[in-house]
Amino acid sequence: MRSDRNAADLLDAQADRLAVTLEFFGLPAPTAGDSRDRTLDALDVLVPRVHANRNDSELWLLFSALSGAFPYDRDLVHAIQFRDGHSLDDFADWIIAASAISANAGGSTVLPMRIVSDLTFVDVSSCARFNRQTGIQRVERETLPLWQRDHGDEMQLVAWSDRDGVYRSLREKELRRVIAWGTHNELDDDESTEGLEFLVPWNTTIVLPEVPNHDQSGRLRAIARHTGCVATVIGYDMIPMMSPEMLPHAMGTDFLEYLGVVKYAAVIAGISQSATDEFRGFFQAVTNEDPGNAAIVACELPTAVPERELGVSSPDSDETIILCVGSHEPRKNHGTVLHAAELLWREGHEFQLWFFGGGGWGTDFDVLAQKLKKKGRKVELRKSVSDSILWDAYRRASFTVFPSLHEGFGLPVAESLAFGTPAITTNYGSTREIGERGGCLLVDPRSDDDVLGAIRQLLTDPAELARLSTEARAIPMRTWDEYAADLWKVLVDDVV
Amino acid sequence: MPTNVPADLSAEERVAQLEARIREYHRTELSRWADSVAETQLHFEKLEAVKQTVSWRITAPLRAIRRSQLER
Repeated sequence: MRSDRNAADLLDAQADRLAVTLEFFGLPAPTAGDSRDRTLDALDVLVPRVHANRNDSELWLLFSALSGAFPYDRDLVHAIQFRDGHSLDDFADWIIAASAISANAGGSTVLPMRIVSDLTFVDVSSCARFNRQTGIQRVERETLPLWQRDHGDEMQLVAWSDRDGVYRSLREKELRRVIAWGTHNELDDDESTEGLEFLVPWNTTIVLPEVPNHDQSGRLRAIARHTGCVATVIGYDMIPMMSPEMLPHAMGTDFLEYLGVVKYAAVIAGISQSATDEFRGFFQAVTNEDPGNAAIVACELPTAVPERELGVSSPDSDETIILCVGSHEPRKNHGTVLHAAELLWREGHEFQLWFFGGGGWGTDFDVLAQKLKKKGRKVELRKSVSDSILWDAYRRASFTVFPSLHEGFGLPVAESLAFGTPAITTNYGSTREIGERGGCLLVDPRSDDDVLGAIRQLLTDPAELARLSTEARAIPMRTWDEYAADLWKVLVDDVV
Repeated sequence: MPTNVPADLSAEERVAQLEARIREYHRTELSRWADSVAETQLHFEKLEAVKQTVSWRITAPLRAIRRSQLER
């Protein structure tokens, strides 16, 4: 986002933000002099107020208005210490200089500021700004349209500004990316700032349906810890803590900062019992030094796909198709699937092996898959597919394989079963929770023999395949409507 | 503490003069604040512009390898 901002614009915006703050407190905003005079006149009222009342929320608001960026937790802690340990005059000098720290790090926004206290904030930053569609974005893009339908006048969708300094309103295209995905895929980037606002949450709930990045978490921690706002989160998994070797280095750093927010969250809604237990374990580990009051509850993801998708597809060949959905990374264990498939091809079994999933990292999957293709093995790789192509693949597959080493839920297993397509999946954690309801063969994903044996069984035993398919179709499906309603209750209503 | 305020002024006048100086000092501080933030913003935008160049994209794999070597 090209800002074209200069020092004069920054000073004007700063004076305007302080005027909004004064008016929010029912105090008159100064009008005399240039922007610096207006700022200093506002500070003459606001600084003595926050110095005297020792209200951390008001200090946070003053810091945010002065700098045009939400302060990091460490900066707000310094501000609290300085307020409580120094004279009014010293504090007044200090806060002007200190507010530059946040502003330099996150960019001082020049968007007009609005303080919002009557709406629940829902942070959809990543989902709104990017076309990425992994498990987390799928949860958001299924749930948020339903929240918009049922609670549209109670919530405010927000994204982070371009340098992650503040919350802002969404552009029209970003809004469509969140609540109308599927009809507006592949949207162009729009960097216009016209009509956008800098939105300040005040004594309200902030729902985090996605995992914020390092910078965002540092600022959110200050809000969750020191202000009257309440943070509630969807707990996807603790993989970066429990299985760090399975993730890129940078992701672990982001997650550690995120846990600093989770530690001060009021509610964590785990997407499976397994994920909920992982978060409970985290709290048990940290409560020795700082007891938390968080409610950690399971709000399990749906197992149904949209009803409109449950049609029947006519296969274009009689050959068995095995489908494997997920990005190619060590945790997904696709190397084991390739290994098993090659052994089965050598045994003379005829089948196609389809891998549907985005890019990846840290494995030699692409090299191995290409080698097999050169040998004439029927390996199909699709990096980026639309929902309709994915649904069609679930319908056409004889069964799916998902031997992931660690999952928060395992959407591909649930989706496969929703289509009545049996799945081979991991015999522990969240996928076991799903698999125990029927339609699955549970395997030890760390055992090549186990995975090989399960695939061989479903290739050679049509009666067993049919039995599992019947079982899958009989499983009661939890719908996205049910999930969205339960999630709003847990993350918003119960908190109020 | 020396204040450089003329000694023949009344106490009220001395306070008023000192407050005026402090105000001017704070006005200067705010200008410095804005200059500093604007300069950082400019550097950030230059960095972003570099990341849009062809050469930055071409050398991306090399940087990724070097980074992964450093992380080992």
